[in-house]
Amino acid sequence: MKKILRSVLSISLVLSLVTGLMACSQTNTQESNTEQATSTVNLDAYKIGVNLELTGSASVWGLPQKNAIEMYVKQLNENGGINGIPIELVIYDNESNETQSLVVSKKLVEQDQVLAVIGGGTTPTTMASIPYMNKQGVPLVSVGSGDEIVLPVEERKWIFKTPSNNQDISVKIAEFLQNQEKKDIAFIALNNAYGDSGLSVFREVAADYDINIVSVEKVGLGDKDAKPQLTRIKSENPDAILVWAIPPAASIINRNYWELNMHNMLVFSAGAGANAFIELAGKEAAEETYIASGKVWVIDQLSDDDPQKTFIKNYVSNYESLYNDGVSPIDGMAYDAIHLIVKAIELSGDEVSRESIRNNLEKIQDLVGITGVFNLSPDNHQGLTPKDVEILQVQNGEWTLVK
Amino acid sequence: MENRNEVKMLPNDLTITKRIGYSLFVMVFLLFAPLLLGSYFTGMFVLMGIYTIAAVGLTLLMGYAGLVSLAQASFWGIGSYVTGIATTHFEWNIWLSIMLAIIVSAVVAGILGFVTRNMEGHYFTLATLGFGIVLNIILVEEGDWTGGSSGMTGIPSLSFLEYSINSETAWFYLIWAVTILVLLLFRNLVHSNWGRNLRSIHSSSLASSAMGINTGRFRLQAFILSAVTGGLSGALYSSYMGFISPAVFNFEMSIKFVLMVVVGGLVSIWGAVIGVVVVMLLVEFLRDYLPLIFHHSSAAGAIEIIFFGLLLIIMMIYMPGGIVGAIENLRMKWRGEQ
Amino acid sequence: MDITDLFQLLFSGLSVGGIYALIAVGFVTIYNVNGVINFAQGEFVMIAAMTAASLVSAGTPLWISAVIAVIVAALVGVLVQRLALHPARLNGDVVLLIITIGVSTLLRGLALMIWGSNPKTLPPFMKGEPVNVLEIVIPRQDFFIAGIAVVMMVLLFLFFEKTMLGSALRACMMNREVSRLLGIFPNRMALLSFLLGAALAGVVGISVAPVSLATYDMGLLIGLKGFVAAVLGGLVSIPGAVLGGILLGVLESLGAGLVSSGYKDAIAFLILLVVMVIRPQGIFRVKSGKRV
Repeated sequence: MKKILRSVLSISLVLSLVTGLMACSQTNTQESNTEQATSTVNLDAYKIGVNLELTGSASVWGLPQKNAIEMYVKQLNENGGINGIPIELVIYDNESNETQSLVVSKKLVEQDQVLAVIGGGTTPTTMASIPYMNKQGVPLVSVGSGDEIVLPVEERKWIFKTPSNNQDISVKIAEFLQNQEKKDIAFIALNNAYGDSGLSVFREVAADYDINIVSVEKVGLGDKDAKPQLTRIKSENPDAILVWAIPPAASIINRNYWELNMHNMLVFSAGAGANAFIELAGKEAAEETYIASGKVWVIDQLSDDDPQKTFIKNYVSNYESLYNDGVSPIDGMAYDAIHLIVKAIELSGDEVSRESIRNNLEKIQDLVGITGVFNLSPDNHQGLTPKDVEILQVQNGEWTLVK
Repeated sequence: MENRNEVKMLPNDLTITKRIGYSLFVMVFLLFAPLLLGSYFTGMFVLMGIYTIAAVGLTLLMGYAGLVSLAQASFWGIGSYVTGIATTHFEWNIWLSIMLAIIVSAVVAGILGFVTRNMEGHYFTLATLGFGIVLNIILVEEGDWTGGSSGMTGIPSLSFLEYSINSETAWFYLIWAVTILVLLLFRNLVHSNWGRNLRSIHSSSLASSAMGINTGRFRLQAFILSAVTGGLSGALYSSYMGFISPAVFNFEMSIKFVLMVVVGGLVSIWGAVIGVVVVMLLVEFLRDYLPLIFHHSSAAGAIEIIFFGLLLIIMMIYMPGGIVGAIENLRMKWRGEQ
Repeated sequence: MDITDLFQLLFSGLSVGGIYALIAVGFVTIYNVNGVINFAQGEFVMIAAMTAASLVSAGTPLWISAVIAVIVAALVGVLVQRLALHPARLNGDVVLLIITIGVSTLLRGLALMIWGSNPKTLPPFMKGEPVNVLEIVIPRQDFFIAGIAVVMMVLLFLFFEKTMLGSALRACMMNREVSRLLGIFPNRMALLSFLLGAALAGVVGISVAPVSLATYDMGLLIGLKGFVAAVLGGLVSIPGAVLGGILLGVLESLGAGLVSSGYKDAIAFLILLVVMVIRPQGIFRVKSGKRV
């Protein structure tokens, strides 16, 4: 008797859930189209969501990026916001984890009803949110570097990004290597999405510039030692070594390179550019190392007619005095992200909505930022060119612009 | 020494009327929950349901067989990736892919369980840990199949005939229907002869084998069952998220599963669902209120980690039976006083 | 790849192996006295590395910072034993294991709060250009690591073989119940084992920080590697742990250099699995050392 009753109850419970399911999957198809992007704004504040890596493996970048965004908003609001309306930030930690990144995006969109979202700070955390943001119709400005974040543009209607594409960085590095007459290079990729993306893009670019990749090595995010990989490269004796990695792995490679007495040319991609790059690699080891990155470390060496010069100069002095810490090109990318969104809100005039921000992001022209000068369009959701990437070298313990 | 962590079975003496009452309450709650919760929390409950499925298997393994597995996230990952690869590379139907995911998880667990059949407590845990890390590296390295560390996108949503499940509410009903089925299945399982034998092995494997119980076989079966729930949960997860990457299925996620199961309580299958819900809601609560207290969201991130560490330690010292165990103790006490 | 490169790989492997060996010894000491696999071992490494790095950047001389850092790590070890493991010592192995996981999480969170997420550096103890020996390049810090590993091994040997306390601890590692009958207090020995294990981890922390930087989440991987080394050595013997550590370091280095750098970490854990299946008593021990 007990048993029968129990089974009947259980089955009816499951059945009722399934009925609910059928009922709502029928209505759902119409529903999802109508709930899009129509919500307009309460005029107390423009709510912008921030989805960054405040803890976890990418938190090296997440914290300074958050600082940069908060600084921008603080200054903007002190100067009266956008036509008197301030920006309100809603900041969540995605723990450098893809699932959490999607959960955070949902929370920002559905619970906090933000107008636009900045983040994630890495390629995988961004990729996890893309289908959702597209479906909901909320503009997302990513600070991740992978080109696939904004490509193919037909499938990325609501997605934008500020870091230079790996494509642009690769072109710049390839041009540089060609000028230096370096033909055979070894490639060290970080064993994650960042390194993978860099490797595959550079492979394509290298072919156009007559550069041979003679060996490819991987290095792990938490590796303490890259000497075996470098020993292997040493036996190939390439003209240059190109490294696509972030600190601390990038710094360890630089140290090991010096420890193994290697004298090939060592070139890092933009991701290695922590503000303490030289200190982390060690002064002796970092000497003569190259990086393809932005301009924040070499503002004084820029020519006076460089449109970014005063903008970056202000940024650097403000950041350093506010946080008592150095800047890096990476936190500048987050600064650019909020800068783009604010610009799009300004362009929207009185009718600010998710839709208007998206449409106006595509119209941004000649906007001077930290990473470069942005020219966006419906076909280009990133807006920079290889010209915005600079090659820097450590000389006498200081970053020097290589012309 | 072996008997110290033996746990008592929940008494099975609820009256039928109480049973109906509880079931009705749960039924009504689950039916109307999406209406009350709003879409964000509905989405969160979907994830809770998915985690619960994997946690149930782990509860069986840890609480009933006494084996700590640090590879539950790996079976979760196997389920996800098999579904992902079958649907995107071979364009299999999603339901078939899920079946395949379950079978592959079971086979892998069968092999791993077989080679580790003689390992005692710590060694088994270490072996699962090693397996988990190797699997994660394979997922990263075999990029042609898995998309490497960038992960894979485009895993289709579940669908019934022409109806595709793509709203949070629809997912909520589907996942909780599956979760409840799994819970009931496991509940019946642990109360069967099989369950009792399993538990007797945990209490004293020497005595059980003396009584003629093939301890290795029961252990292996429990391990395969836990992997099957992991695989099913992973398959549903990949379809729900539409995107998977190796970083989700790492060692830390395995620890999170252990945390959820332990907080809920190893003494009962229901511990799994309680643990998952409590842990997830606590995280949510902390995320909302810590920044208000600390005005610095990075400190809040750290405090969340600290909180979980402390929670785990304090629970293990003072409430090794988890929430379910504590409630049970309270009830016993209350009865005793009456 | 010629013979010099091979020797180069071997030497890199030896210096990493020395580090693994020290962690493994700490593991083994704690495991045998407390009967628990200490998941927080890597966290002790991290605490020493971070403490030393932040003291040096605050202006404290390097050697003094290093000593303080090791003491801090040892104290944390003692606190962990007293506050977290001791109260639960009767709750069974599974519970203790999960507690150490909790401790490791807790310490990582505290480190994140105190030191933030940026990597920190510690200057090397031996400065200057790497040394060339027969075309093999050896960084000076590696001499320090090798030296400290040897010194620690000798000290450990003297401690375990020549002092009363050491003999007591060794007795307790072999058999808790019998040693109690001999008038040794297992509780004190448990504390001592954590003091020793954490201090060893602290020494590892200050040795690796100049080579591989210090981050709040460095403990997990380094702890796991120490683990594998300990299992290779059979989990019960200190010489076994030392050999296991060195073997693991060399195999990893050769694997990364000769086979595939992507699968480098898999090598360590595959070895772990294979050894546990084929020779659960460790690869060096002949007789079975199963604890009953």
